[in-house]
Amino acid sequence: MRLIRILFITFCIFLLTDLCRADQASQNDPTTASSDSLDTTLPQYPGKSFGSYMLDVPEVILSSPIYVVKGISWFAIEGIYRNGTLRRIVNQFVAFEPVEGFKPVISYGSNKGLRYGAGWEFFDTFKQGDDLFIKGSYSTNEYQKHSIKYSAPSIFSRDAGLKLLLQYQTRTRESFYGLGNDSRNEDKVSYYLEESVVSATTRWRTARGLAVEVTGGWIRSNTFDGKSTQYVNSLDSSKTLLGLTDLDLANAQFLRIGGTIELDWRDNKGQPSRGGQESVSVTYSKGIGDSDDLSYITTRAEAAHYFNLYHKRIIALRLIAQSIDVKGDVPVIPFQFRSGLGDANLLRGYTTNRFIDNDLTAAAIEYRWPIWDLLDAFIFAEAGRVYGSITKEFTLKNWHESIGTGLRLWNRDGVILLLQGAFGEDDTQFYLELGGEW
Amino acid sequence: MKNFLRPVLPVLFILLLALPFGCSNNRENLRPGQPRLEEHDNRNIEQPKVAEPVLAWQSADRTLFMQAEQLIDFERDFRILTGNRREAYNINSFDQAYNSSWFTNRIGFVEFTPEQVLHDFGEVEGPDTSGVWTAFRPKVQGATPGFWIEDARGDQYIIKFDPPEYPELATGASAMGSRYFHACGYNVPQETIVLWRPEQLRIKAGVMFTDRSGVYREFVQSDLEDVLARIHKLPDGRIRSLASRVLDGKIVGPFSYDGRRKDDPNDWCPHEHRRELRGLYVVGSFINHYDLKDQNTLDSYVTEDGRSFVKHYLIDFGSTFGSNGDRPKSAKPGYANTFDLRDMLVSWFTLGLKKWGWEDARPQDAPYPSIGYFESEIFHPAKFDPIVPNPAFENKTSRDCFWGARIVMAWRDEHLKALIKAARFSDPNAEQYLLEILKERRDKIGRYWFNKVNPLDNFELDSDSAAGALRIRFSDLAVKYRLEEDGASRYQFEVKHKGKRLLRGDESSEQQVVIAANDVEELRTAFKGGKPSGTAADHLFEVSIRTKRNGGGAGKAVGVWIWYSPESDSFQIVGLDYQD
Repeated sequence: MRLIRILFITFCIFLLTDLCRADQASQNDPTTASSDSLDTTLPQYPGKSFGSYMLDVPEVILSSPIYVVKGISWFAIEGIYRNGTLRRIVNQFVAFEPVEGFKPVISYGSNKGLRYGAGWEFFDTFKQGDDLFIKGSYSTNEYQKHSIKYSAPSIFSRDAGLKLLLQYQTRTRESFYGLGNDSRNEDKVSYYLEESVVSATTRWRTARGLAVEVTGGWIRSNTFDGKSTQYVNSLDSSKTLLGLTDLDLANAQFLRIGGTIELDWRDNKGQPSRGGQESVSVTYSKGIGDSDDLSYITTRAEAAHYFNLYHKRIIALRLIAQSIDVKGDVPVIPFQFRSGLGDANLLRGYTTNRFIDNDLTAAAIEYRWPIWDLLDAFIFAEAGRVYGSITKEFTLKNWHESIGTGLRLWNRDGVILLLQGAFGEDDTQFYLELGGEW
Repeated sequence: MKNFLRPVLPVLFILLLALPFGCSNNRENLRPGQPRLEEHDNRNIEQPKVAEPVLAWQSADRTLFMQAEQLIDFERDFRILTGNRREAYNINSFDQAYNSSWFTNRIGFVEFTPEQVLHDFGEVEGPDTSGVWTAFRPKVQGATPGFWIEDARGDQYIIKFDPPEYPELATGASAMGSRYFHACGYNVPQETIVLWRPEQLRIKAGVMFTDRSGVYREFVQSDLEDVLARIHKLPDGRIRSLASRVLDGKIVGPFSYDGRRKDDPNDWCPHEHRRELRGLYVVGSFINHYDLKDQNTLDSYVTEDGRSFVKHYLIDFGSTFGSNGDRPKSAKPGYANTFDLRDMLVSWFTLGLKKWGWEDARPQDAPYPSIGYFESEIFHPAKFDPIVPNPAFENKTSRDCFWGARIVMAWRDEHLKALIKAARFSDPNAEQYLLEILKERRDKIGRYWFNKVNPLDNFELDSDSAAGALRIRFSDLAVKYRLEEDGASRYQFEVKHKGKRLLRGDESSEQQVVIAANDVEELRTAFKGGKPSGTAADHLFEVSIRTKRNGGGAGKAVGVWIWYSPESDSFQIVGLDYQD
């Protein structure tokens, strides 16, 4: 027990060292000083982190057959560790008793490779019922994610809680396809994203499923040339082609404040068969530092409804619209902050953020049916598109479509495991992930 | 053409190899004399090792791999395709299971009174409540707490309780389940409802145990008080418990529903081919014992009549009737395996259009908490399923099920009332409700399985008739148990010798077959004539009887084998052959 604590503290120290070094690298870079110096070369990503050295895996493993299983989103033993039902099943075969508070992190993704990490969860630290979770992880492809999360659901009153987040992450092999609804698969480039987030959220709940959230925080984002060896184009060489500015690519900082109203009247969070879930959120983002001439408002509306045909044969409908309203005559918003379509939850037949622009609309219909007590199968069809301005360009033409099927393992608290395959115009995507949005 | 045949030839070869096995018969040779009644598997043996199988793995194996293995068992496949499933091995010529270390023929085969349902267990009726109980071991595992005690007589029991939310549920189900299976012929521990006062309980000094948090320490008074604080108590302060008598002998682990115990020379028959384990499907379905798995069995090395051998027990009846141990049964148990790959695939590929019977179950509407969810409307005798696939049940035939149905149908209303009395329910309405459900389930079982096999039984041959005729009397169980109207069924027969039909009788509504004197003479002639093979076949005549119900066509046949002895010029019934 003591050894685990020592290892964990050592790990946290290196985590903080990495975090400081990475942010320092972006601050020192001369190219981030001016947003209109379009001819300058792009900054280089920071050198290898401690975690990357620790996890350095020979190329032969990275190019092993499992790596070419494209699109497997992520799978974490962490989930088994956290989930009581899965843990009981595992315990039938091997003695598996978790060390109190310790949470391992192991996952795999085709972009990030194999991810390792550890976390420690503390309960009742400041107030009865609160939860402090410190976690850090590295991957073989130098993805890293470190976070400190604090959650106190009843800190102000029985129904009013607080969430705090401090997070740093790097994603070295992300894909960008250009802006607009007509972006082409052939134009994709690889980019490296470094992001730091600090946020505080308060949430009030009512007995009838109504919740109000207010969030404030700070976000900084840097993008560099990606490290993927699969793409010929780089972000640098493509920026003119794609209409990007340097501001898109480096050291964008924003202060944010926003609110969400959510009505959740589902009969069951894991297998909703009646009711629905609606939410509207508005977030104001004000640029600071190099981005101080930029501010915008993001509005998002989302509705999901569930209809029980008979005996848990369920039709689920989902509609989403998101719009970004830019204030004043300012440069365009960095692409990573815009509205994106395509991932394991929305327009599943496409890779993450396959289509990016200011605004988006999307719709999905799923038919779900039980094949075991806690396992449902589903088929779905969905469509979506992005716009420069939804108010000026809205149309029902040129929506990108995706169909697919999958399995969802659930319990009454929500989705435990989601396995799905989806077909889009570009490719076929497979996802295996813990949790699910709806 | 040759290219086409090449891949098919190995399959044909395998099927040809399977053919002789597919046609083999497990029946013991038909000979005059008394049928064999005893298995004689109580020969003196060395004590076997204590078996400690990984029971969770066994459940996974049954759930995931057994079904795949069955698929590539070509002999089994061939038998299923040809409608010739392997019959149980341990049956005598009258299709009965032997008395053995597994089973004793009781209700359905011998006279068994309602009084015996309550009091056939032995010399004592539960622990002695007049003296002190000494608790010598806590029960820390399981959903409900408990402990081991020794009463003033020196008998040892495991004391179990109901959860406070559901008084009488688990203890009532266990007490009835234990008596039910005993009366049906199985070996079970005696489980009795007992009312006692906490003051009579003492703790044996120096008892060590490992508590729930994993600490090895002494069993002290506060542990006992902790247990008693979490259980249901009667208004007068007494405690209702289930007292499960500790089995005699040395426990040597559970038995498996397939294979044999290698270190037990008496264990000659693969368990999945034992009649009493296959027929347990029907016997268990009656009281909804959906937890019939290896974990709920025990082998004990006992010494009886100077011989030491392994005796096989069914244990733990907390998941019977409407109980699920510490709570009422939910919708699915009893109607489907917890995890059934076949059902899942069907649901998956039909996009959920296939609706399972249990989906109509409404456990929330169960009227009596002490009974739990126990019903007779959705229940279908052939769609009962234990929570884990059971290899013996996977191999059952209609004859096995008919055998089980004979036992179930022998439970008349008075037997059922006696069984319910064992639960000592406080609410008479709950008792009446349970009785009605049991009667409906029983009759459903009878109607279904008596329709799969011609349900004629209790054959008697009367050859002393003055006219020289042969009269075979029988009992139509469907009529006997009032599932069919008396007089509405008609019986027709034919007599064969060496596969050749000798004569055909007229239809009759009487439960008997009469072979007229001149026809009997024809049988004698058939024996003397032709080419004698010098085998039993020369002496055997098959009287094949079919039953017509309500003006319909003739159903399946039951063959009555008659042996002709020329020395005494007499006939004798030597066996029965129920068409499957």
